[in-house]
Amino acid sequence: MVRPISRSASAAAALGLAACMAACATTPIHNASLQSEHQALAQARQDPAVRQYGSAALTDAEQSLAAADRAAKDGNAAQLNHQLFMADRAIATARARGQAGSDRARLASLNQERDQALLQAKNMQLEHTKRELQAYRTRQTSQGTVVTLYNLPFATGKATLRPGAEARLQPLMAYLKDHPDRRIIVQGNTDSTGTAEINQRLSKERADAVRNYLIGLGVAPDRIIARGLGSSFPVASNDTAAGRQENRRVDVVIEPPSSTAALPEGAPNPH
Amino acid sequence: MPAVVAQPRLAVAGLALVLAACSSTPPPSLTQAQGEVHQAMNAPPDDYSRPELDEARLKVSQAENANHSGDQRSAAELSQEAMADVQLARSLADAQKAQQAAHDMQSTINALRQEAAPPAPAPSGESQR
Repeated sequence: MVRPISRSASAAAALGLAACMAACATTPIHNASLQSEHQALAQARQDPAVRQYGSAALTDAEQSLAAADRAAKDGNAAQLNHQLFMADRAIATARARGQAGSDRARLASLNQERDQALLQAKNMQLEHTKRELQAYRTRQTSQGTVVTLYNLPFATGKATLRPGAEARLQPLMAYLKDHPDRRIIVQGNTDSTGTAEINQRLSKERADAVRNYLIGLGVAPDRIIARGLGSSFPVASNDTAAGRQENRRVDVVIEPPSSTAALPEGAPNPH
Repeated sequence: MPAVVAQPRLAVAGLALVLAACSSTPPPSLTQAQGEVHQAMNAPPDDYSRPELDEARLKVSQAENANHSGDQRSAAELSQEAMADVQLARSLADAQKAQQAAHDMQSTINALRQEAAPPAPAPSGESQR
């Protein structure tokens, strides 16, 4: 029976040597391949990862080499050849497992690194959004941060957002996307021109228009409350054109991060 | 001993002995090697390193030939070698996957770092490279 040539070159050398030795079957075989396989095993054992992750295969290799030693002693060339091959495969397996194990360990620490990098990227984005919100005039109140949108383009006397409103609302939208825990109150305000009733209705409709626009972009409806305040809360005098313009505004109150008190009873604690 | 032959279990044992004498009854290691190679061949291609798996297939067919010609010892040895090939094929493929996963993760981290990095300052006129 001819064995495959494809086995390791060292084993092939053993075969050649074995053929020479076949004449005197009980003479111990001094085999160079056996020596080099012992060296290969010793070398593999020096690698801590191979010892850690490939210990079972290392044991297989030891057993095969011990059997190869006995076969060499007994002059059993075929058995020597077989055991050398088995040892060779076991050592290669141990090395592969060592590599796989250390790569997996590396992957575990890379996972943590990735989480950190994710956090940094996220913070960077938040920082960016914060700067974007600075595009609005903001003030702190007991309710939370109030972002004031002056001159939000509405058709005069109507509650329809005009072109350009999207760009003005973009930073707010980005902020809401980055802070999924924040809820807002959109408050429409008018100047004192016109009746209180009309102003009340118009301010509510404009607040609704902003709310609907944000909902249309994917903000959950329960995160946005729309209120119409009419002309009841002027921030400037209604006696001048400039003052009236100041008073025609949409205030967006950003509630502080949802406190646990605000959560319904028994709701799971976020994070 | 007619009484003994009448026992069905002993009759089966007798038949088994006859079959064992037949050279084409594969040794257990050959059956096992055939199973392992078959399983590996049906596994997703990246679960086993191909060259080692091919070698295992070759060894199994050589073991089958040895078995047919009554060389049980060679059949058993070749079967063991085939299983060692399969084991190595699996370990190599596994190592390859682990390496790839670590490499991919490193790329992800690099991309995230780039994203998190503050915008590059305006070139100072000095070549950085």
